[in-house]
Amino acid sequence: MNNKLIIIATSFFILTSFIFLSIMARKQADINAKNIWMIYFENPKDRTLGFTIENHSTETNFHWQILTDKSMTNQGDVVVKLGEKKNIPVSSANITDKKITIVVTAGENKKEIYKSL
Amino acid sequence: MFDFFLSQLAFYLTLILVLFIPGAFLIAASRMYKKFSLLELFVLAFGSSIVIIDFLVILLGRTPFHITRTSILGGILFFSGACYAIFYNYRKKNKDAASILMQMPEHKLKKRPTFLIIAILFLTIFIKTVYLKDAIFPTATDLGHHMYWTKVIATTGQLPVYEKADIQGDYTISKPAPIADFIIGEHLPFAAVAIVSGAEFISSFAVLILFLIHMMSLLAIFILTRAFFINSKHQDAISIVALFLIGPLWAIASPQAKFVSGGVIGNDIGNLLIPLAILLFLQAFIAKKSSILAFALFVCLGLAYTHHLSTFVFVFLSFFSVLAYALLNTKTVLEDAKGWLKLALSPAVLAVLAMGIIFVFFLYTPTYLNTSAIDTAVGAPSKATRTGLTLAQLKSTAGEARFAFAVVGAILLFFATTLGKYNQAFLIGWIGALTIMSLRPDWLFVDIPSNRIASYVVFPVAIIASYMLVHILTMLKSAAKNYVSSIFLLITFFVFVTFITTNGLYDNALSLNENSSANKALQTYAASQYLAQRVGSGDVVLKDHNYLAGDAWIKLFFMKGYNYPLSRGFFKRYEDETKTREQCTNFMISVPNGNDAKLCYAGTHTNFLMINPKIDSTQFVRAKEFWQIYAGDDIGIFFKAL
Repeated sequence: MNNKLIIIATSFFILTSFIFLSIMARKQADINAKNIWMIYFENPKDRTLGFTIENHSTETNFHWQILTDKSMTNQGDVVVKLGEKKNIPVSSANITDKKITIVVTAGENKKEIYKSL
Repeated sequence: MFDFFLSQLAFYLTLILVLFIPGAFLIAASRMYKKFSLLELFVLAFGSSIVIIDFLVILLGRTPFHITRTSILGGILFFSGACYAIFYNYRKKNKDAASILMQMPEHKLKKRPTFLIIAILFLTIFIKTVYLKDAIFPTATDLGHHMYWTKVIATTGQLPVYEKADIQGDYTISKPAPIADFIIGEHLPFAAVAIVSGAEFISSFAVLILFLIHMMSLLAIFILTRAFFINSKHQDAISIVALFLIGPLWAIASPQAKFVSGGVIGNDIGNLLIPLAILLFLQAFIAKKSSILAFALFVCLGLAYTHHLSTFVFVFLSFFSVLAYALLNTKTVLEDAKGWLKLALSPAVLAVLAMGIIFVFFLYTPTYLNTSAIDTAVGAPSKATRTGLTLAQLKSTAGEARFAFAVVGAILLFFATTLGKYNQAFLIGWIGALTIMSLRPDWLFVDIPSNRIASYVVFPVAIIASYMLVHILTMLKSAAKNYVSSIFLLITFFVFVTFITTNGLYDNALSLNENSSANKALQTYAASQYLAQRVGSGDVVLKDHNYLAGDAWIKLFFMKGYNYPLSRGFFKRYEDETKTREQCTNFMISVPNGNDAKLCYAGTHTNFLMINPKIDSTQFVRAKEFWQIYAGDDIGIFFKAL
């Protein structure tokens, strides 16, 4: 009977839908397709200043600056490819009572993190 | 790509193994196949599998085997084997050589209705898929909460202890205390699938299971409509129209696809088990079969272990159905009641009741079965949202066109004696209970948000509306033979179809998603991963629920308790007039330098804050004691250093 046909058809439609949705979910979960990047301190709780640039964007050229209070003390350029992370070591020796800000720019986009040592 | 293919294969095989096989074997053992059609058995196998898995995993959780892939597979194998042994033994004893398929009652549909049903199902799945494609990535708050407990089961191999720690009046964090917000049946089937298939928690697996449950609930409504109108010569037409009104039309708004993507697990499972329970009770009373009644009670037991609100609704609709039966059959009700008692006192029914008592009192008591939770749901409505909906609100929830036909249909039902006395009583009881619970909860001492109750009304409304619609059209058709022009009939048909279709599709259009929030949620998850790898046992994290996407899922990265990280909730929650709410989570983000916030920081030891930098960073940048340690486009993390 047609009960069988209804069950087979429904199962087929559901399976097709599930496969499609799974592919969509996989695409949406791909952070490298989101054109985003982030920066963070490797050790958030201590006085160290080493930071990481994690790139999931099409930008690959990053420029970083270290500001002590508001004056720039160091800067550099780094290439971080899509899907990669790059750690940049920064020394915190002899710094006291200062706000250290890391500013990273890529194209028009700028992000900063800081610690008050 | 190969990994993706393998994970897909594992997932689909697990779905069949966990959510179909146990029920199919139970049906064979209980010989349900003699009373139900193949389509009914298909849906029953799925629904009962959910219930079986619940009880099986509870049992495993109470044994030294724990809840693991091996124990679940072994449990399913053992259960299915035992059922098969019963089935085999019965056939041998009774020399029952006919195949199961041969013994199923025939409910033949003609060719054209069959293709119409398939076309409606295709359209239904297509529309819901279009909606879900932008909502498939896991970000929904409710689903995040549920998946936390599911992950607890999967990672510990134990039954979860539902409790959470809260901020107390002295600003410290309390020891974890029991909570009644979650019920174990909402998590066990998902945990079983995740454990067996190895599915990732931050993936589409939960939404896909909910979608499957939802589709099965639509089929359940279809087969239930056929059962209700089995005595009508328009059975096919009514059930197809019901499928049309509940499938492709109003396909997205609550309680349909929105409940799927939103992770409203309890309601979704309830919307499957309620129609199945009604179908089983209906058939049990009509056929006077205690084995079907026992099956019905088993499904109800599963419902009680899954969702308190659905159980509550089912209790009321049962009560109203009995009342409707008594009022419509005053002469025979006492005699019939004796028959019901006889059915209830059968060994099969008593065995299920005994099983229920053993589970509730000795193995696992559902969290809501405690005095405070019962007090919360029963009594005079305590909030404005619980005092009942207006008729206009109920009409909007039910769908205007469906509601219009259902109102007239409900009146007509009182005179529809040819439907069968049980069919009539269940239909009236179902719609009657939900209408009064939604509009006048004070009459029944129901203290539950009225809009949540009203979401259940769409199913009986669709069934009764389809009955009414077919009734009007067939009346006009027979009148057309005598004194109404056939053109008038045709016009009426098209007016009705246009009215209903545009109304239902317009509702779909209103409910469609703007955009996927996956981009922002992925940033939240990346930041959570970063922080989870760096926090120690003394660190306390606070995140914001207002402006972060997918924030309810953050706790799955830490797995340090249901309330870890602490959360700043919606602002209106801090202005609750009915009870005192803790304010710390709001103060610590909104005014981190205020005196209250300082006390909160000191008491709770909160030292990490996850916020949306576009909204909430200024107050932290100004304060010297906070360091910004993580910067993304839509999420920032601050550390309280001093």
